[in-house]
Amino acid sequence: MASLADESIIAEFVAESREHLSVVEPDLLAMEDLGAKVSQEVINRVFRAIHSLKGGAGFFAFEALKRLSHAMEGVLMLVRDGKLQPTPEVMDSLFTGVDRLRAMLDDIQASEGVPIAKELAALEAILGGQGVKVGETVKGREKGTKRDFDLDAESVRSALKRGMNLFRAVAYLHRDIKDQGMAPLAFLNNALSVGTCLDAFIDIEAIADLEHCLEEDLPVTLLFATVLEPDLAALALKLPAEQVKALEVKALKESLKAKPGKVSEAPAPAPEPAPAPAEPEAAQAEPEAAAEGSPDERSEAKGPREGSKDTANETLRVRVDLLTNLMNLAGELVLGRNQLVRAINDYRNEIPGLGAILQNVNQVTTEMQEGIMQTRMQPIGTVFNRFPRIIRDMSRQLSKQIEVQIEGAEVELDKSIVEMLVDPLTHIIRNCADHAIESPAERKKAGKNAVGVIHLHAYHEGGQINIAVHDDGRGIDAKKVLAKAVSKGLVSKAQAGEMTEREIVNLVFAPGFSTAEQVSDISGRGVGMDVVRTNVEKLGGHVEVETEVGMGTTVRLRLPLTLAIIPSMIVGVGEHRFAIPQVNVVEFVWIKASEVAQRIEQVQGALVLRLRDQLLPLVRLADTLGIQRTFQDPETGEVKEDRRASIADRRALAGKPPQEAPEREGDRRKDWRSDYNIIVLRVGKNQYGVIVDELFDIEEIVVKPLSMFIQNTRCFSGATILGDGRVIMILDAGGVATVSQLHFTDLQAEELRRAEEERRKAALKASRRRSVILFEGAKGERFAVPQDHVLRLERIVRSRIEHIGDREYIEYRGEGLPLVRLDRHLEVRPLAQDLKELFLVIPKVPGQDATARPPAGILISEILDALDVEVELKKVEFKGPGLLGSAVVQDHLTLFLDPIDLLRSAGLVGGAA
Amino acid sequence: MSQFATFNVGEHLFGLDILGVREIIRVFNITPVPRSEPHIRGLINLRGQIVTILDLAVRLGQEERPVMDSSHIVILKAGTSAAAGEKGNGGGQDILGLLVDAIGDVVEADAALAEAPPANLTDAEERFLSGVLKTDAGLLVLLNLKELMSTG
Repeated sequence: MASLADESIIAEFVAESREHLSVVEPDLLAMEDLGAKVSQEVINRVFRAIHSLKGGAGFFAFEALKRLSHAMEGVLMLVRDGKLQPTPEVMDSLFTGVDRLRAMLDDIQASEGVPIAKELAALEAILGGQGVKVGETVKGREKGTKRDFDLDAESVRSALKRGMNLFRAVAYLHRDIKDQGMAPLAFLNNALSVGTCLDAFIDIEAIADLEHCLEEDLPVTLLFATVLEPDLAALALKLPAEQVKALEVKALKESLKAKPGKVSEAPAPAPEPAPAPAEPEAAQAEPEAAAEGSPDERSEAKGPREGSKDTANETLRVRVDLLTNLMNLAGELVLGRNQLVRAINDYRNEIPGLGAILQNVNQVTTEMQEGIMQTRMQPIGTVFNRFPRIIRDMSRQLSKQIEVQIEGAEVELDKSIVEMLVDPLTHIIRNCADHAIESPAERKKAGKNAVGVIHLHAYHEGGQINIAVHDDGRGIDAKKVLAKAVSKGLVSKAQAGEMTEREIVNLVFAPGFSTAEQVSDISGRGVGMDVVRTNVEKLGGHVEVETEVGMGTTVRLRLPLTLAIIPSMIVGVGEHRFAIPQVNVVEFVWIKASEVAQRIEQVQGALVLRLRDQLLPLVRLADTLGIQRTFQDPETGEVKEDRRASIADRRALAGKPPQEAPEREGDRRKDWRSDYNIIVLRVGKNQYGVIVDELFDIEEIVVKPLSMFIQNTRCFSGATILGDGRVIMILDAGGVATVSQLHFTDLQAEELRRAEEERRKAALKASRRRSVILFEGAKGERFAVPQDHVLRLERIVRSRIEHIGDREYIEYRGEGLPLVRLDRHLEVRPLAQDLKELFLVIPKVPGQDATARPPAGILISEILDALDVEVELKKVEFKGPGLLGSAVVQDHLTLFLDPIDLLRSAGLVGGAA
Repeated sequence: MSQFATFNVGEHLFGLDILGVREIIRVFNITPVPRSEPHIRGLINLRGQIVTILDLAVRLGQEERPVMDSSHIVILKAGTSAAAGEKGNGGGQDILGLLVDAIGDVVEADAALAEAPPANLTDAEERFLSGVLKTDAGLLVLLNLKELMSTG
């Protein structure tokens, strides 16, 4: 009997069956607790487990095991179909059945000897009461006739739409395929050339057990769709006509409706009727069914394939702490290897083959470490795959049409991250369905497809995992968000004006924010997105939202691959080393000693770094942690206590007077304020700088949880062991900020104030800008006149200047225009005598019409430029009328003139001086 | 009869049931933890596991002193500290080590004969002591691990 089967296969069957039973028990309990209200899912799970067990028992010919499990299966079937209430008696019989099964599995070879008559009798009595005879079903099933296809609703529907006929074709492996001189593959290829194979299975159950499998021919059953008529189809498939049966389309459709289609991952396991809700799309796709108007039709659900895609058999349950321990040991092994390599490196040449051995050990160690890391990884699909179902339910509830698309389900993440992602992602997706996706009518109006799409996409990027949840819904209206945020006091009006659209949209993550006009059952209680952000940040990730009104919204999550291993920057403070997770690090700023005074200032007693016009609060890590600051004497190399004022150490200030030690002569520090190493850290949306003494590499560190004895320090999130075996603490950026009592809000106010000041200054500066006309008097002497003081510039020919007394005139628009020479009024040199052409600056008299007769013209030798200058005029030592001051323009000292003042002093315009 | 691991802190001989002791090691590279309580001496890397070191002297009310040549760390079994880890937070997984001045022999004694610790026996707070035993090696002060490890 079982001798045919390998011992180890049986052992596997036993182990697997035990696992099935362990799952069954809690479910049975649930069935008993909930009675008739128990979910189909639970019953199905029990059913599946018992069914698999029965299948295996039959295969290995463990008769007693098979009989008992079969009877139990029968009872379960009745319960599932609602024909039997899970009364205490029924449950009792199932429980004792499970006990017996377990007893039989304990010693499988002696399983025939386990008394099961009583249990069988009890079960059969229940079945008998329902008019079901055990033997009958057994027979029926073993003939393989009840075994049925796993229908994919979509493909069947599309086949029917294209006018195809569906056939059940049975091909016997020997008689129909091999004996005809065909390879099984050739048979399939032939079949595929004339139609489509929707499903196929080899009915192992049709063969009683292993013993007979060689004698009996193995039937392969195909669900075959083709445009051919039945008789032609058989011919095309090269099968006897009686083995190809046309399927009744109507029955098939009904069975389709009984199935949830592809939405649910697990196929209904029942080979017998299983009522399940119909799909709305099914009704749509089939006019017939729609006409009947009964979407609730129930009918025979088709069974699953035996030993289907279920991967449970290939996996093994391992306790997580065991894995964690293994991971520790692997890390330790790496350390050990490093030490070993270092220790025996010198003997490489002396011992032949040592190099190769070391290399081998090296490689194996690395691979092992990676392998162990891998064991904790889980595909993100385990989270993603639950969403189609959630969305399906929601879309019915909301009367919307929504489709979920999944991409990158195979991307793997640490188990703990995957688990912690469930809630945030569910929330985001619910939001999409509830708020973002419009109703079909609304969508059509907007010219969109009535079916909204939620696209889930996971991918690797830069050593992190990105998850994007995109919907093609209505998008987020930044104006509404801002209005809401202001009305809720989340941002001030002043702040609101400064925000970019991106910043505004990301306000949805602010605590207490919800834009939904109506709070619905599904989401929108205003505690949503901030919880998402908190959770994601707890995982060391970030979340962001991008949106385009009318086009849709994308929520992006960036997450580390694993919680256990994080790239971190190692910093030194005094003798201490600390790790700062890289996700918290924004940038590194190095401030030279000479710039310290410029870049670092104090605002309300706290240190502040000025970084690109932003103010960042600064923390001296040493002070926050209460570490004595040290510095290395550059001459002696001796480590000495650093007595720089510790402004940030409020604790010291509060407790004892700060030890503001007087600068001693012998204190040979490099500089009073030497260079600063500042790491800018991110906490939520706030940033601050941490002053550290030294910076080391970025290392991948394995996070170890914090001992409960040091959790109250609040500054650390964990500890780790560095490559050299040294234990260091991991800084918690948020905790350090809290302990340092950073007040980000104070700083924001300060920043606003400064921005205001900046604007005022800018305005002032602008007012100092002036447009001037630059000209030359005597060679090399430059002058400037504000453009708004100039009416016109004219070129004149020297010979046309007329002299009346010692005054000079020129004919200008039919009248004599007095000329003014600068050297007559100011201490400047006269114009060169040899110039044939000269220029005139004709000033504008305030209050005078442009067409009025100008009072005079100032003689100059050349016009150089007309330009905007930003200058601060300096007083000139030689004073004179009409002199505004001097400034350097275009690298030349230039005198700025007030022409009217000049003319006035020349007596050419009236008015008081 | 029980066996006790004995060790010195200051002038007194203290004892712990040997079943609660995982191993005894020499002192090396303790990483101090800033802002932690004074009796937390720091952390060490014990073959890849991080062990929190309690300074027994400080815990018992004595001055902190530098590590001496004779100093040792008594590593407690994880389960032992689990008893103290009632505050949750996975504290039960903590591994603890006690920094002591010197270690003594393993002493056999009947724990049932333990007497209440006389007042002013040591300057230690009474709650850290569970009793005293007269042994050949002298008066053995038994420690109340649970209290020693309480984080309150």
